[in-house]
Amino acid sequence: MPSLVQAHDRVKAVEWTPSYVEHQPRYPTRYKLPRKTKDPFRTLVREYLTMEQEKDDRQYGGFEDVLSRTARSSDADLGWLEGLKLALPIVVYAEYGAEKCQSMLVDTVDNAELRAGYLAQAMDERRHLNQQMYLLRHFAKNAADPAGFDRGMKVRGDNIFARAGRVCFDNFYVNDPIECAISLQVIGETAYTNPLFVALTQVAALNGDHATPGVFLSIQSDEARHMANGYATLATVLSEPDNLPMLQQDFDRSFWKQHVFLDPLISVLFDYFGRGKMNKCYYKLWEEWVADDWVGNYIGTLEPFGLQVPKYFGEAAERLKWSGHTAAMVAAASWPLHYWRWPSMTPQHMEWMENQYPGWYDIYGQFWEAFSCLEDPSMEMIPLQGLSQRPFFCRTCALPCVFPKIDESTERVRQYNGRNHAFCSNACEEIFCQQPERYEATILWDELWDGTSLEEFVVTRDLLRADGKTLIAQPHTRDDSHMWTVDDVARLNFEITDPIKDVKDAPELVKQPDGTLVLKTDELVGTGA
Amino acid sequence: MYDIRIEPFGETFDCGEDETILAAALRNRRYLRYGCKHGGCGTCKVQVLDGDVEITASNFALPPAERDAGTILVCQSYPVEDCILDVGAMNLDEDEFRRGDATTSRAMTVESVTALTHDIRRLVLRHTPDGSLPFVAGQFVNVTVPGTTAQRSYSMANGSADIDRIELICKVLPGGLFSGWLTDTAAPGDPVEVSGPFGALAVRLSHRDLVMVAGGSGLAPLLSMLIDLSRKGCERPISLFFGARTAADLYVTEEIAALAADLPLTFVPVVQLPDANWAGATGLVTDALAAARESWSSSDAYLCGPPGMIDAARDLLVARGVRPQNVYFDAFVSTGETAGV
Repeated sequence: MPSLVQAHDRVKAVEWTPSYVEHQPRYPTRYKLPRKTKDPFRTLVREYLTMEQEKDDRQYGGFEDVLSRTARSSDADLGWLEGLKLALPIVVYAEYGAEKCQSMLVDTVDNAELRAGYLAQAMDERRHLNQQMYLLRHFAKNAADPAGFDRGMKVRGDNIFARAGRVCFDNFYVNDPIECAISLQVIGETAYTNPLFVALTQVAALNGDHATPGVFLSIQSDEARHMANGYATLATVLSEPDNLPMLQQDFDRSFWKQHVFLDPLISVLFDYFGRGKMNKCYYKLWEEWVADDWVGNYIGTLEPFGLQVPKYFGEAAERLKWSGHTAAMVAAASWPLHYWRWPSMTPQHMEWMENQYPGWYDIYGQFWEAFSCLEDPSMEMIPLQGLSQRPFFCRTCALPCVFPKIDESTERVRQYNGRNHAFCSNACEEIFCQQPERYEATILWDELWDGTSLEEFVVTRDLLRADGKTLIAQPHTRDDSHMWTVDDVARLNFEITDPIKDVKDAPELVKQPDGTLVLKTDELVGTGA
Repeated sequence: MYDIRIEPFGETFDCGEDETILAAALRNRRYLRYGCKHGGCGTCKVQVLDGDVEITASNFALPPAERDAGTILVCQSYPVEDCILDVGAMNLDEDEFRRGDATTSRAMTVESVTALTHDIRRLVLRHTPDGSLPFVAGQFVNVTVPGTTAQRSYSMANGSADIDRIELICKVLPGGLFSGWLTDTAAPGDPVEVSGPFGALAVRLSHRDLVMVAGGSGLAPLLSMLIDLSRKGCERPISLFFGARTAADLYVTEEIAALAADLPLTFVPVVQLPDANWAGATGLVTDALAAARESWSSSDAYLCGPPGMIDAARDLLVARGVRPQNVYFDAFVSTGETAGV
């Protein structure tokens, strides 16, 4: 019987690639990759799966034996669970993208050591997808208000924010497989899974949710190895100096595309649905975990090989001070369009916000005061109606162009190929200009539903509860006597519109010989429209 | 003998009652990061998970809050029972830990000794065929005082790209063992034994600006960092505050001015006792720091100098928005001082 090390060496020696046929990757990469490096997992898939099986047994056993029978999930903070309605269907898509990414890498990367790691990670991603689906099922059966937990997976493609989540996580399996690995393993899993799966676990526990921590911590126990995969991939790529310029550009772009969606999402979950129960806000954790640990430690060790801080990192740090609050405000203002409820803010929660983000009340406090006045359907108004102008949607990140603050936007509109395109930031415009064909065809939420009444949207998108009348979404989590119905929505006479089609004479982007775009005029890329 | 278990590697070694944990680790052919070995540099910080240790007096590099939270310096800690320690903060990988102490000791020769001020010398040491000593800007070496077994710690003041030599900035202390050799004996060509490099002070990759504060010979590691940042084409704004007692105590100001041509560097020399010809900032270096900006919240801070200056600068910068964990420092503590600190 060979030792584990001997067995492992033998498996690696198989090399996977048959000598009798030339392997043509289905997903070719531009990168040069040496065939020999270091296996980041250092374990046999056989042994690995046994370990993961045990983790699954414990987790599902815990759900069935304890949580379901004791009905603990019905006691969790109602506001917090609404945040999970929003988030879980989005995160499930990320897991799906992550699994596809590993399949691409196994096919493309001709390096037995790395492939062993990718194969094990593919198994993990499928495991995570199942775990999160099970968590959705658990809440659909046990939450005090299950409406939405049962519908999120179905309606997420029609939701403003979940749709942008898809655009974000498409980056895990669209484009060069190595760029996908950077998006997923180096940025998504190394920079952002701690905030997502560790910090939110604490928030869940503080809100009386005993189901989510078990799932999230079980998932996070795999992420350390995925980070090792990312590090091994990066180190392999950096061992070929020719890769560096391409790598830095892919790294810059991948960071921004993850930041632009994930930071507002986690910030909203943490600071708003978390109900102000943590002693630190998301921005402070981000400085610690993303700026200090990820950039300072993880990327810092690769700096001697030439890797630099992502180009847009400083802009992201600046934007992050307010982007979560702005996202929360816009999401709350458009509440009937969603598949979750918005809890109104308590005075204690507002005080927490002001302490954590000095100056918060002056910018956002009035909105939340007004929001609570419009909770009851008898008010016959939703906050969206109070906006003087509907925001455009960004062609690159698919989010409304409202960042960093509603009164301090970096939005700009351009014309290209006979259409108007809005961008929320310098970075999103630059990324579009680098690969216009990658983003040009993206159908944005407001283009999809232009001219649709709110009532029609709610009915056709199946955003109603079992009685066929009451909305899943509500601007509060109070009892059922103040629930908005489709009749209340019909009285609003509100229509979804796509305001960008009316913009005339936006500056034009033109193609250069290398396929990238520049402004036709002498204006620099990055100036406002 | 006590058992010392090291996490996250799950390995246990024995340690005598009169043996520091660091000495026991090295004796057992296991490596823990260390530097000055006299409690002055903080390189060997670890977290006690279980058990208790006796700490000797020299513990300067451990702020009280960290001490209260169970952090110790293994070079100054003697076990009084079995202990479990977490060395995660050392960023050691398992191979490094199990390989034992790979710190190199090199024979070097004196190239030059130059007086920069009345009590500051620049000592240039050249590598011999024995091999070079690669370092990261901010690190230091231990120099054995020729003719003795005593060692002194000095930070490199040159850029890490210089593979043929190291440059040290040494303060001459009256009656000091090394100072005596430096001023009276050292001559070009003299052999010197150097070990290292040690220390974890280094410019951390970040999107934030840099504020650097130096006092006395503490300019050395910051100068090394500036040279390296210049070579890398750093675009992060840098503010360097250099405090001295009199204008005559300032040194290498032309070299810093030359670096400012290639770097987004603002250089503020500060003199405590100005003469009539001095037109720059006056007072303590922290006065100039306070006058320069109301908020330093978008900066990482790098400090090197006497303990009093570091304490004052750290408090001021934290009060003005620098996150405590983004204040990186290296205290200049003479060997004679540490016993009482």
